[in-house]
Amino acid sequence: MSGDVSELTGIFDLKPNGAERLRKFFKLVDGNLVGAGQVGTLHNMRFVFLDNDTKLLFATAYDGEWDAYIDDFATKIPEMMDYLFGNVEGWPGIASPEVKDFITKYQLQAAAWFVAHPDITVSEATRLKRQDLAVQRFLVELN
Amino acid sequence: MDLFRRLRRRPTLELDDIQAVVLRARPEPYFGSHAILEIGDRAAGQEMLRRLAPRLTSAAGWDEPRPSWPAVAISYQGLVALGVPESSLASFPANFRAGMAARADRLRDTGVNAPKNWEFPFGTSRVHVAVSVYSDNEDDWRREVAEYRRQLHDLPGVNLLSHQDFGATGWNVFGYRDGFSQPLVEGSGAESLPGDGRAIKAGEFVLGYPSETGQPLGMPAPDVLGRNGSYVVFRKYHSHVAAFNKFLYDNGHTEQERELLAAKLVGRWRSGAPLALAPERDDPAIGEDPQRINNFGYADDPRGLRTPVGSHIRRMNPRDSKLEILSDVNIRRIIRRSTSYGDPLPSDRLRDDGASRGLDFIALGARAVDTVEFLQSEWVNSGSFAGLGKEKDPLISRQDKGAYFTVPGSPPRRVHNIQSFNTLLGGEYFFLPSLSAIRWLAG
Repeated sequence: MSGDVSELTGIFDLKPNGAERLRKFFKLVDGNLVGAGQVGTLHNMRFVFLDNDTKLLFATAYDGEWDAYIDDFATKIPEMMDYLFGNVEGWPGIASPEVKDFITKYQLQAAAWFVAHPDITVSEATRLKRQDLAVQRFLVELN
Repeated sequence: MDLFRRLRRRPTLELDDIQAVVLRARPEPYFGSHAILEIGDRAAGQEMLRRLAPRLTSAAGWDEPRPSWPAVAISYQGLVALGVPESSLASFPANFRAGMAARADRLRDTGVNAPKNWEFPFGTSRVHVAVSVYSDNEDDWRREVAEYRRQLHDLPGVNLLSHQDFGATGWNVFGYRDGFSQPLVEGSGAESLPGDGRAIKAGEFVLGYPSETGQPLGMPAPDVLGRNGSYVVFRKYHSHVAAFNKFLYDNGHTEQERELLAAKLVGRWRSGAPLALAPERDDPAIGEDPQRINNFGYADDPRGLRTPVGSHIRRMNPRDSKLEILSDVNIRRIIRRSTSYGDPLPSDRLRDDGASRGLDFIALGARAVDTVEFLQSEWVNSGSFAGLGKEKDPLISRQDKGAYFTVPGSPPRRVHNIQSFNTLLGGEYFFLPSLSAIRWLAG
């Protein structure tokens, strides 16, 4: 964790054809997981296939502790979570009591990482942009 | 006032196995005590549970008046002291096993609130069993407490570490009516009151029933131990009422200005009337009316012009507010059984009299430990979820130097130098076993 921003990296074994299914899905959304914007704590997220499509590298930067909103995912966006990670071997399901342990088991510690603005959460960035818009409007109207 | 729900439907929960405190509301006025016990040896601990078991009250008939009822809850260290098998111990969630003091980082219990500053016995591994007695009159409370003492006095392997009395009329030491907003628990048979929203799945409060995920939450093994149980989070606060009063005097010239600012901090007037329904001045009639006191939302007040987005009640239960972060408000509800101790300090007293007064925050639920950790880190000590930056809960957070509170409006008003109005004196995570689990634990 760097200030308010944290990182999570994991390498997971994919189920047979898991990479293929995920690729189709990513193609469908044009590689752009814009829906993840509604989560409100995710700065970024990436999915990379490794070792001939047998493994998935998942890396993300987000605000706060990684598990604070896992329970919300389990009731608000369970289909999305299980659709994405259901392609991973051993995925217990987002609503399973085992899910936090599962993620912890595959988590890889970052040896180093850098955040330019560790005190700016996604929510804070949204607020600052809103404020800037108001200031810009004010300046336009002033002149 | 009679703020309590009535049993209107046939309950589907196994009420005769669930402890009374889960569904039985705190009366007005109320009297009682919280005792913390240490189990010195396993046999004595089991004997204590055997003696307590016949005195325990179930949740059956939870809406019928009763002079007093107890609650017995056991910490992880208590379960260890009782000799619960390793396989069972390992089936409890990690944060519960660690205990509240070890979770200080997650709970944002730092600075004066850090475990090293807590009152004995909190923060030690000796907090094993909490026994609480709730009563609706003084005589029955004293009789009941005397009876517990009689039952336990000849058990040398069980030590009474602390005893704290509580009691109030229904108004807390800050002079606010409290404890009347409770979730509607599906299967309890409780009537719905206006503003409740839909009933919350029973498994959010009692283990062994479907939760909001559609499945039961994880439950300790074996079934007899877990089923019909719940968790309790206990946090004892000292309240700085004089500092609160002074903050109002520093920022309000008239009684009316001070009371409006106080209401903006809380989201309600002292009577309990919400700003959402009484935006300009207190309307005690609403505070007395269970049909109206909670009958509101925030969807029509996105900027918080009536009820500030950062006010205490809007943070603790955002209802239908639009939040910046994807959150399910229905999994963050807790059954509140908080109790006030000490005498209230009148609102014109600006100097601390050194008296002991405050609130025992008591939250019940099948995910109460997770929920309180979430509330502390996300909704109390941060403003991100509501787009409020670094602003924190005006009543129960630990405020940093130079902290402020924003009262939305045109223009908004920024009120500087808000202090921490409550200091944590300690607390612990407890498991609230079913009646059959108590018998199982007694061996």
